[in-house]
Amino acid sequence: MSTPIGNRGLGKRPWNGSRRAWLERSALGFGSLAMLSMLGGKGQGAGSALAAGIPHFAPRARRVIFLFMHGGPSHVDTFDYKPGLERDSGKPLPFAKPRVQFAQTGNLRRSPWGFRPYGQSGAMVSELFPEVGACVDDLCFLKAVHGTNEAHGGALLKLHTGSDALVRPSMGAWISYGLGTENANLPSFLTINPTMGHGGVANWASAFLPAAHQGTRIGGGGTPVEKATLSNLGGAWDPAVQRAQLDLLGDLQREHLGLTGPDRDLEARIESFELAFRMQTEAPEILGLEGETEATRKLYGLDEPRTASFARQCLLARRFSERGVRFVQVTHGYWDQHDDLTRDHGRLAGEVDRPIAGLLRDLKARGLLDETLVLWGGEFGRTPTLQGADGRDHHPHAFTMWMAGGGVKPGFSFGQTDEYGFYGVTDKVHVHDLHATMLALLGLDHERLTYRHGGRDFRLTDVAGRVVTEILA
Amino acid sequence: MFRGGRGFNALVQILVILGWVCLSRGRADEVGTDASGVGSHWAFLPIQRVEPPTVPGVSGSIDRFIVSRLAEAGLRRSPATDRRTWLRRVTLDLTGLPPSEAAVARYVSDERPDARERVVEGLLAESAYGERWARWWLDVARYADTNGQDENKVMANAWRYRDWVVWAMNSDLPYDRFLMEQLAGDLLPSEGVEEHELFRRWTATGFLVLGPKLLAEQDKPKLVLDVVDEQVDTVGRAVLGLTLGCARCHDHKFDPVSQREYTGLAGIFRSTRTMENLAFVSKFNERRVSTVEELALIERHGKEGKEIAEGLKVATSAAEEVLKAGWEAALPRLLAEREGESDAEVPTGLRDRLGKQLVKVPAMGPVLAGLKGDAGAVELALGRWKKAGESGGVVPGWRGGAFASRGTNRMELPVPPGSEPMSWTMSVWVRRDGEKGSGETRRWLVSRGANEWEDGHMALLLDGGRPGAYLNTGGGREKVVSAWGKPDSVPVGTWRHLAATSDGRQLRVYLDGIEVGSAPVVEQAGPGQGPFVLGMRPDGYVGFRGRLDQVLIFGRVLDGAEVKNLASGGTVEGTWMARDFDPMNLEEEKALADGEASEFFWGADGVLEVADAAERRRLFSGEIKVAVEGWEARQAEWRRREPAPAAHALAVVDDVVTNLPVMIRGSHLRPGPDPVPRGFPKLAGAIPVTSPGTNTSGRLELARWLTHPSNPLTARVLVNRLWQAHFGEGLVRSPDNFGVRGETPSHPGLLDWLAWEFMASGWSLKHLHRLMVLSEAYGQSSAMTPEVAKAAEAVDPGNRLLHRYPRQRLEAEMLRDAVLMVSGRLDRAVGGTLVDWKNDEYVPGDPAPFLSVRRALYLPVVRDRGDDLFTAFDGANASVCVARRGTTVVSPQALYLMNAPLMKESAQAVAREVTDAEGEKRLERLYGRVLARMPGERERERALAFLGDARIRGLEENDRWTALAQVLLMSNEFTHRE
Repeated sequence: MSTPIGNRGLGKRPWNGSRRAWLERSALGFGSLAMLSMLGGKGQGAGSALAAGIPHFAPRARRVIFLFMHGGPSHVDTFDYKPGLERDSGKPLPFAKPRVQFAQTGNLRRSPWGFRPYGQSGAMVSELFPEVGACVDDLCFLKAVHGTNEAHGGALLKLHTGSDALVRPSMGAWISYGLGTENANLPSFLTINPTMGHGGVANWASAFLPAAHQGTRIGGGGTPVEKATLSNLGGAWDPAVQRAQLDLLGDLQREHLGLTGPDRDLEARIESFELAFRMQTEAPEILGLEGETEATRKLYGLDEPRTASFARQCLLARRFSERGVRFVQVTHGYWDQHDDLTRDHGRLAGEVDRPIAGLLRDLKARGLLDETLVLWGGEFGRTPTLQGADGRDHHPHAFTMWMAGGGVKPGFSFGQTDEYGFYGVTDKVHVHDLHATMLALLGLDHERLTYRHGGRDFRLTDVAGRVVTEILA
Repeated sequence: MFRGGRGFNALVQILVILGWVCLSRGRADEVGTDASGVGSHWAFLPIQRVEPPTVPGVSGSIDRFIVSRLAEAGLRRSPATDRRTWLRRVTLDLTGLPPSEAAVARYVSDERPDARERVVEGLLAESAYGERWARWWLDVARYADTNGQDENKVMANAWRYRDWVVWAMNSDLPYDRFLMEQLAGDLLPSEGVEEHELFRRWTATGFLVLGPKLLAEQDKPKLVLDVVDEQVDTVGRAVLGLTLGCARCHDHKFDPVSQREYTGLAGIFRSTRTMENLAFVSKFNERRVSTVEELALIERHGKEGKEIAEGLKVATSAAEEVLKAGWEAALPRLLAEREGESDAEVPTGLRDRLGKQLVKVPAMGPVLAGLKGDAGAVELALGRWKKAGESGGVVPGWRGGAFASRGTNRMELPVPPGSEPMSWTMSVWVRRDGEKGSGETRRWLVSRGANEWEDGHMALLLDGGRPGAYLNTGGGREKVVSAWGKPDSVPVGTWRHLAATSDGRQLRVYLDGIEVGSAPVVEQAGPGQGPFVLGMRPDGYVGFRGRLDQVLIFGRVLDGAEVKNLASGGTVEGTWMARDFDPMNLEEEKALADGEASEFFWGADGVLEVADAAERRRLFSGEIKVAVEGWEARQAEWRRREPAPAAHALAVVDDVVTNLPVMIRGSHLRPGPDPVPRGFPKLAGAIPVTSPGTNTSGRLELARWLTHPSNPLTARVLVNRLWQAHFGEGLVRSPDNFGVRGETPSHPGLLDWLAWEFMASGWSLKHLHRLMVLSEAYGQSSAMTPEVAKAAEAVDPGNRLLHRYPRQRLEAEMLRDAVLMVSGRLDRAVGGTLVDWKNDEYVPGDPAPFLSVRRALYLPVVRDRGDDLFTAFDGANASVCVARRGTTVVSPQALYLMNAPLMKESAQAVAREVTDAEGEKRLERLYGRVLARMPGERERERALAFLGDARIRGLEENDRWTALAQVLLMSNEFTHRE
């Protein structure tokens, strides 16, 4: 199995390691695609590392943008309208609460916000989300999502990796592994402003998948969003000096290679510096928001202090997504209102409503919504029952998430909770099902997207997962 | 690995998945004859004593195995590599550090026949050996200093386990013993064993406690079983090379361990106490590891301290009585002196006589300020006469008035327009009243910018009694630079001088004119925002209670002498902003706080308020002063003798002995009917050890089972992983999977020979190292000559037969340490911890320990917080047992080498090291330091051309050499073991 390298005057030389081993090390990386095509000549054809990048079946979406609401927004105060809750507010829950609860809660409590129907589909949305409400005809609600963990850490890990007990790759890493990258100069999986708690890095790590698939963090950990950037992206020297350094380095490396004989890793390293240099040019340009019109900025709410921060995140999500980043996650928080729900859910929704609607409208206007799957939700919902004076507790037993674009039915709602929004009643969707469905939309069969580790073939969905075919457009 | 659905492969894939999902109804000890092949699997057969094949002209046992396999394939090994390359290879492998230029020179010219053996013995004896190989074990021990998972709590005593591993490696603790102590150190026979030795064994059991846990899991029985599962899985992977955890839910056709056997093992750990409590957020278990004598010493010392404090208190009150008497005597005369003064204009004469400590309070009525007794015996300063019932006013300060910070008020010093200096100094006198409430103990004294996460934020603060400074360089939690002094060095109620300086490279904090902490500043801070705020963090978070006086801010760095001068009451010219709190006008006075409770009251119509104990202390004289000084000296001496506080280590103990039932599908909510006796998997043959008794958990029996010479896996797994460390890949390329679905060994005979030899040597790791690194296979050249290439391409493309030495990239830790080493910056101190984070609290965003230049081994391992270096260079994931690290080539590595502060700083240091030479000599020095060799002809030309390149000609000379040094640090030759 030998392939000549006819590049950069290196002459014809054989692979000196097993091709498979090498591909595992550097394939599909964060910028390794161009390198592959350089080294392998063809690169993109069947039989190269990109074989793993060919979906199992025709994809409906090419990329994912996940709007993660950290802390757990209340479903019964946002998108799951429950007249029963209104009616019986103050009364005890007439059926048993779950065996394990995060904390004890009291009686049923109505939503402080009114609901009204929106759009052609007439979906009920609360006063918290008027702008998103105006977009309901593009949304596909999953009203009976359920997880298994009632604490933030476990629930975040479950949602992001499919497991709250074991260290598993993040869904973004699986997608990167399954589909590879569309832009050699950028990482395939980005997470903007993530929380460093509740599992932190584990929520975007590649675990046992090759490191090239791990999420690259932009900001987070208290960094103001407007300053968020990638690690070590320039800054040490003036670009001209760095160019001179890399010219010398490349020259010395090639001479060294003459002594060592051909070595694919060493050659790949030489190229990785060039890719890094190109990324230093491309990424800041994307982060800089240059070229966005006043209208676009307004659309996202960049012009308003209240929405500016999340607007920036959403706009960055679009900019990276349209340049081929497979999975972009943006995080907003902290939706954990054990008390002061009225004040804080109000404030938090006010920060995200316009940016989210802006993103949806912008994607649509640019014709990107069809190929981009937008996913919205938290790690769980909140109890329909009251906690403290004005709060709701964690509630993994039933909550709402929604999708948009990317091959899901627009203006559609799937699944129902009971009359109070406590348990799912029909068409429940477990987090594993959500993952299976997301992969299916990207053209990946969750049962066939496996990775051999420690003698076992692992999946994002472990031994579970059902593709929710009912929501596919 | 997923490869899409094509033909035969896909079919195999499906069959494999089916096999894996299907429940096997048989028990593992019954499946020996079934199609899974578990019973006859090579790894479960007894380790054989194998004779190395006879190969003419080859003497070493390892080499006989290697060369004969090569010969079978029609290949030859490569020629020996050159001496310098071998030395760099072996030094990095055994110590994790590159050899010095001198060491290379010594070895290259060493003509003795045993020169290589001497080098290896020397390296094995270095403490750096234990540090390097401790890290190798810590990978499988999933070592970390924090819990990670849902609640990232600090495990502040984890480092004791890490230091134990270093100790065990350096003392070549036999591997069977090494395992036994980690699994059951607390259960080993302890009669006649010295207490410190017992503690060491307990500390070793920290291995079982280190795993990540879902501490906030509210289903507590599940939490307990998850911990057990993690332990079973870690022991399985690390020691046996088996994924036992998979058997938690059900039997697997290809696994040698049935669910029932898993349950027998799990019972052992379920009978072990790993959690101290199962509170809402639960706590991992720890044991005290201080001897009774040490505890007695701590107690004695504490008691002595109390006695001294009491003596000092008595002497001080006696002295104050004398002072008070003096004041009382002087008071009528003073009042008489001031009679008739209608305002606070103090006569010049009085001012002169009293010196600087004069307070002028125009609106406050009669002023009684500093004065001197007639005989000079009593000196009273900072007093103030206040009418009875008068509540407003100035509080006495260190000198004159002070800003009374009550925790709720603040004062702002607007920054004058103009340039923002990048270097600065903050200086303040402070007296703390103590913090109220629990929780946050940090108090901002003087600061600028909303909070420490804001770019440009600078602060002088106290964390309880610990002085500190912050500087944020770029915004965000990761960009907080902090420098801290010692805890409790600023006691309540005394006036102390604090200062912080930054010159953009180093942040320093001073107490009473002495530097007590510093931290490197590696990035540039943005300009500060808003005014300087006194008394609280500018965004209003927690306020300081106490007094602040003479706030001085300089737009430059004061040196140590200048700070000392300020701390001893002197002045330094050129402040940027200053506030002395000698109230000059009503407006300012309004800004000051209300006076607080006076400390002395006399008479019916007025109050004499005197600053504080420290101030009064300065006024002592004569005999009373001598008495107080005597006690103070005793106290100081007592402080110096302070013993280490009581120590704790992560450790387990036996719990109630429990036999678990099989949990159907792994769920504790569906226990099977019968408890399974605790015990061990059957694997191939029975291993003659006793089963766990009814009184103990069975960990000791498990350890004996694992380390029994008949156990077919333990020795094989270990020698394989050690081989992997030296040769890049193991003889079995799945080091944590020796199961049916793992890889088969490339050299089965060699694997068994090594395993046998290992056990025969008394399980000595150093013996294995000697065998491996002194072999000719290890000493081969890594070069891919056309001849090698031709042969390899056809027969051995993956180099499984070792026809040449496999070049390996330095691991993350090695790379960092090597960069620090060649730049002369590496701190070689051994052991201990770099953090003083509170145990069982959430990890603080404290970057200081990560900037340490100690070996990477000692950097805190914070789970789930990515560090650029370790993330980019395939560092071990600290949440799982990692038997083999990745060796990826990705762009973040290049970005790190090009831009990380570590790289540029180190390049700067290298450049500085060679400044004393000129031109080509300088270049030779540079190559010598970084690559331990001379530059070649073309390299010289290229380097000199680079120094003259138009693109860098604008740089200063040192920067040009820095840029060049960095290129060498980035080169493949530096970052690899060649």
